[in-house]
Amino acid sequence: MNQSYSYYMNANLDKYAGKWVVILNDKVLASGDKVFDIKRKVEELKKKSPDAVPLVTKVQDKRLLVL
Amino acid sequence: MATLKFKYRLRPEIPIMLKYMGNLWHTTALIDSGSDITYIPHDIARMMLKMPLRSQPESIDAAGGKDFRGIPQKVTMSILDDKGKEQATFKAIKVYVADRHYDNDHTVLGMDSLFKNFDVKISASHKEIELIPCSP
Repeated sequence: MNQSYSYYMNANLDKYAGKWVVILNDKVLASGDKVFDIKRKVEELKKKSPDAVPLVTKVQDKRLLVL
Repeated sequence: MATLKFKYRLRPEIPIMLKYMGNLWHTTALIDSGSDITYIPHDIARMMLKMPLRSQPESIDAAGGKDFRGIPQKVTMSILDDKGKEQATFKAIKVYVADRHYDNDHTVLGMDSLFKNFDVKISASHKEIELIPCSP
């Protein structure tokens, strides 16, 4: 994951709020409303750079949430 | 194991890695003391962890009087630091995977995994989380 989590914590990701993102180091490689939307990018990355492990997560949004 | 400290942004979440049959998924997971279980969205389990999801689903009560069905699975879970290094690893953790896609779904660490192994302190004013390993 390298610097991906630090980037996730420190970057302004407001435009991705509520979306799934693929982050590698200091770059958002893909985003989408559903996991399906980012699946292809993760698979491409795995083939191209097998050692690269991206952070794949959902960016929190400000809508009220109860689990 | 030393105390693990994290900052968070909007809601308490920590970086984790889940491993299932050689498939890795690095992500963040919400911390929820109100949840008995650890929960993974269906699409993630299927597409990132390649879980077959053939086990019999169980009924799980959720907030708002709703319920859903979760498929029990065993995974290896690691808590990571901000550089992605494994700080604590737990093998054969039981998780529940949603039996279908739900919109606005989240990965949740509940009482059965995180809280069983750590005393969890959350400071909302400082947006900080401390995971203090439980004494054996």
